[in-house]
Amino acid sequence: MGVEIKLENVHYRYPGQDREALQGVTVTFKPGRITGVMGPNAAGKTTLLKMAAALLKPVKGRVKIMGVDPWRDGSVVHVRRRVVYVHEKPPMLRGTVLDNITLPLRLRGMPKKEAVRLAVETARSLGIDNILKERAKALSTGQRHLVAIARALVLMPEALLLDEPLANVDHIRRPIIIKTVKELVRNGVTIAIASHDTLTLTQLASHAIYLEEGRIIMEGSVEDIARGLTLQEGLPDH
Amino acid sequence: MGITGRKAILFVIVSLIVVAVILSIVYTQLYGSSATRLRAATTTSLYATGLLDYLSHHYEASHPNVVIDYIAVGSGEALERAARGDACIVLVHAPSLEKRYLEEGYISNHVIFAYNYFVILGPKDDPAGVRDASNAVEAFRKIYIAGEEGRALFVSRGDRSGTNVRELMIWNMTGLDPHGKDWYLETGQGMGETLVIADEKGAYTLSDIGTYLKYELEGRLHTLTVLYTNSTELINIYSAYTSTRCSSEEMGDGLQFIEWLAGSEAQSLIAEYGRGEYPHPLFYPAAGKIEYLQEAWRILANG
Amino acid sequence: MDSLPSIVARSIIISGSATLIATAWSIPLAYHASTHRRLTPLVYAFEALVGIPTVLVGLLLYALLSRQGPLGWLGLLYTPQAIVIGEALLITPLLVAVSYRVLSEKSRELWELAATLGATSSQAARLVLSESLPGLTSSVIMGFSRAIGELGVALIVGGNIAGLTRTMTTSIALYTSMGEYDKAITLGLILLAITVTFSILARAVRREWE
Repeated sequence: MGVEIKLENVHYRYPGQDREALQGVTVTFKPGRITGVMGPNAAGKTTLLKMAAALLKPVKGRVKIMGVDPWRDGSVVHVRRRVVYVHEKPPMLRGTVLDNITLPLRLRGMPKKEAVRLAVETARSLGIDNILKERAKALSTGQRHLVAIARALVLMPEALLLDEPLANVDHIRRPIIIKTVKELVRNGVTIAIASHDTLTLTQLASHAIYLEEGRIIMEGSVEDIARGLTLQEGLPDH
Repeated sequence: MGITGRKAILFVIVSLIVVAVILSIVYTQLYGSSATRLRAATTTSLYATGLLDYLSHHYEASHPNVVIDYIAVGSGEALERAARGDACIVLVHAPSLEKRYLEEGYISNHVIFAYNYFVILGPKDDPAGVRDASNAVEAFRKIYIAGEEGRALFVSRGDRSGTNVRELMIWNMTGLDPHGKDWYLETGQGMGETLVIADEKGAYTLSDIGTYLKYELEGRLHTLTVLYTNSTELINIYSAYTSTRCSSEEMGDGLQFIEWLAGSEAQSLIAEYGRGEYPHPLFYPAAGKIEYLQEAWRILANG
Repeated sequence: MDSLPSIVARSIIISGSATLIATAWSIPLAYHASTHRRLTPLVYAFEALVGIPTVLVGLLLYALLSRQGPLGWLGLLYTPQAIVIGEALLITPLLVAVSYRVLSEKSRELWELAATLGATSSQAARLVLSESLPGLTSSVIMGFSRAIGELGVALIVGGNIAGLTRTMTTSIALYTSMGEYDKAITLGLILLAITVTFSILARAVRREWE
């Protein structure tokens, strides 16, 4: 399983802003591979992931998910069920952690009992089954990331797009997330991870792109990009 | 937004309106009655002394099909509301204003039903020497002089109420204009509030006797005392009228009520009101003095 | 005459009805504005009117409902219904402005989440609404507090008629003018207790729902 997501020369501009957040980006997220999306703040990383998840419609260029353009043939809702984006600061809904994790299943009309069983199973694999009864809005940032990942995983997505999954996550929970992501890739899921932190990505991604002001300026292995960055810093005027 | 969302919102709107309608039905069931309501715009001083509730209590006992709703405002506003037809009868004590509304045809069926006196109040030590005045105009002149010399303050209602109209009439007769003087304070409030303010400030003021007695009896006044009163000059005449914009069925009830006010039952009720509670009567019935009162009213109305 | 409990009950019923009616049109309007950008100027207009003086609303409504006014034939002046209408109008800007803020914040926060979890647009709309409930409840309680604590509308279009349109605030004004400060203060404290209770209740409900 796994879907291929292809972005071809995509542009995006947020309403009411002058500058384009993405200015012609071409990239392919392949099944069974973790692609890193690197770059400084406001480089367009989040925009790129949201576009790959069919949440933002490109103003120019094309998105192809499994070879079709979801904006052309009206399959957006259908596509979104297979590609899940996890926010950098995942919003928690009111109610318990369990309510939050079962929500996507309930949206899909799954019987409550089955949804709960699946949610509990997923929570256990992420080591958060002990907090299922807690109020989701009262959780710490690290716990929120795990709940958000669980909320995505219950859908058994074919592509998972993670936005800064390790930011503000403590050293106890980091390995759980890393292990989970690696397992998903082994099962052929398409994964993209956006992070401004090179260290995080060296642990996870093999391949990466480096964005700056909405353009790809480097592409290759995470190590190559890291080396490129050090070189750049040495230059008087890049 | 999808169909379901719109349906949900429609449902919420409908259910809220239903609840509100049910509430208002329950409300009318609880508080509404079959009696016809007669609206009377009245001056605050009459209402606040409790006289009107006392009178309508007796009236409604013998006329079970009528409920009198009092809207207590200043005389000026009471007349205006009656003129607009928002109240069918009006009970006021401002002859010069009444005359204007009568002449313009907004009100009719003039009935004088009670009177009492205005009193000039001030601090016990009386820095302006009002006690020695031989008439109200002289008293006001003394206050003006003391005010100019920084020895006295005067508190005015400043709200076009009957009391305020009378106060301005007296100032007018002195030929002096206190407006804008720093010792002349306009409260824009009812008689009661104005009394309390005058008391706190150790100032002079003009009040109807009823409100003063009530406040005095309740121990709310500490320095104010009656410095001047006079049975002819400071007479305070209460009149009732019907609005010419009454609906025909209201008009019948309205006329009946003001005729009753002038009748023997109401007149003896007015004479008894507050007796035993207050050292002086709050109101005097008009019966037996009608001609004198009509003449006094005419003089006041022509200013 | 008019007993204290009946004055309190009347105030709650009148202001409660006004709040329900205002809610019925304000929240759908706020929701509509939160999903249609071109309606934003309307919300700004309501925001500007949040502090509209109660006497002004009372006076305008009096001009409309007076027998000489355009709606005089309805015979609503000096009835509880007139106060209900006036208070509903009075609190509408507050309800629209606050609800709009709640709804637009929630939809900004949750629309993408709902979408990426595979919600259809009507499911997403319902999710936004349900997540906004605590905030919307607060705005409704705020509206009720403003309605029950206002004097201008009740006095001008209600007329402070004993047994019919006398509310807590108009009684307080009357008792003050009659010099019965003890009664005025008692009623004032009851009024305060009611609004404080409602805001505590709203907070509790909010906590429970989060």
